[in-house]
Amino acid sequence: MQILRSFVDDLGLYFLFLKEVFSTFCKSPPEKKYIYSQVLKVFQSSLLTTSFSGFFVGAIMTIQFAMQIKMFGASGYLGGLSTSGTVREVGPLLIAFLLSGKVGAYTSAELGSMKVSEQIDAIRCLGANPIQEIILPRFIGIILASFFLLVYGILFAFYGGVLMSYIFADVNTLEYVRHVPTIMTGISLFSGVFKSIVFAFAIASLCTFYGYKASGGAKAVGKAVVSTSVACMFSIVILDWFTTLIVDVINRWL
Amino acid sequence: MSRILEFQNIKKSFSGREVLKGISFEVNKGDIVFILGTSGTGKSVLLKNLVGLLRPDSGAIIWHDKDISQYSEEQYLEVRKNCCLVFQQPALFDSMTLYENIAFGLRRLTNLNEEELDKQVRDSLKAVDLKEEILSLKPAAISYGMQKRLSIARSLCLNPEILLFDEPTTGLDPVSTQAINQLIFRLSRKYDTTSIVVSHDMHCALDIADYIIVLDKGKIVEQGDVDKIKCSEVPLVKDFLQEVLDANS
Repeated sequence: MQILRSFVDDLGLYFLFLKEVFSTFCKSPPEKKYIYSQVLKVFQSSLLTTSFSGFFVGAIMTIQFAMQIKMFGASGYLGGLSTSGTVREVGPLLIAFLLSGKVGAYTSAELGSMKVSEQIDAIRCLGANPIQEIILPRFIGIILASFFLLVYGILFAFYGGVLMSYIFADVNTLEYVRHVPTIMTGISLFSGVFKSIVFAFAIASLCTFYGYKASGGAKAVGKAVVSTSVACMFSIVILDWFTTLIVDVINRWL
Repeated sequence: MSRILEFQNIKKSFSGREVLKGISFEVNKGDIVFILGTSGTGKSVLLKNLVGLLRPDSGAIIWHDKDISQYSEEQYLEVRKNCCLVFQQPALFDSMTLYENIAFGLRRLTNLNEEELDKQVRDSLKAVDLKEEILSLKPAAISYGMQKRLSIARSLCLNPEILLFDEPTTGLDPVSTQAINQLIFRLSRKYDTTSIVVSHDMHCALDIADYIIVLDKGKIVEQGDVDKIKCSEVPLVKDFLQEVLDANS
């Protein structure tokens, strides 16, 4: 009962926080230079991790498909199936998990530390709005950077797929690429982009929310980081199910 | 002396626990007022109510004959420009240089041009006995005591009417504690600033305060000038005075 009550409380506070963030964005958006610097910071810090994870996601997908497809003698479709599956589902999902652990936890800890060391109160006392000064640049910066990183990670997944298909399935690059446009349709691409944006929003909003609402001492910062990680994982899985349904409806409608 | 600020029957609760139980007192212009009490008696909550970081459940805070307790965030900007809070922790912004830390409030609360702003930053740094060479450093590169001074400079540069200190000597060694206390006294007299200091250091209060308020469990148990406090029969005040005597002996 206590857990449910705490969950409902958090949910209510989360929506109030989102409302405050959006109203501040409409009234007084942050300076562009602060957003650029956040995008750059997040992008640079996660570039290597995303490249590696993207590469291996593509590699794993290709090996899995290669094992099944060989039995039917349809190795020519390996590239199409693997790339479509990666772009449509596995790429955004796994890379979003990774970003929630790296960018989400870091931002939550950073904001939580600012809150418990009274820096956020100091910002208010010095005539500034903390939502405009520190939350919005991170919020927008993480959404943009996460989206770019997800797209970038998927590119690396493609390279991983190409390499693994050559090593494990004797499928060369040309053959791998040949059926990609046949199987990976526009809706697959839309699905990947749509999911990337939704997951990036979830990561950005949850990590800023938990960091901003931290109160107490060092323990509160740790709690904020844990809450961010758990909430990001859960919401990414739930949002994945939800976005898959939406994409399916759109697909049928088309 | 003219009255500058008045707290009228301020009450504040957190999750059903009443922290302030009807606090009323006045502050005269130019005075150094010490609010003493043991931990958790609501001293810091009182200061945060004044600058609008918290809002009282009931009661009024009268500043220049206006009740500011229910002001909007926009209206509070004027209050925050004139009543500057120096936090218990230095609360400096890690990503900015010390210069930018001091200039932060000036850029947002005043219309000074860059030249005037620069002068104001350097003057306030000098007032807290810090050297200009440190201005390009980040907060992590200076000592905790220097960070405390810098946070005072950040508030002082706004030329406030009232400086609020939330346990300014917490975490400092005895020498730095003494230096900060003398700094508060000197700044108050030099700039004719009213100071409200939240502390549990009776020794310092007896040294530099014009008026002392003692809080216990959310209520004022004693208030008056130093002579009145020294003769108080209130058990908590006697305990505080005994500690001073013990330390001196």
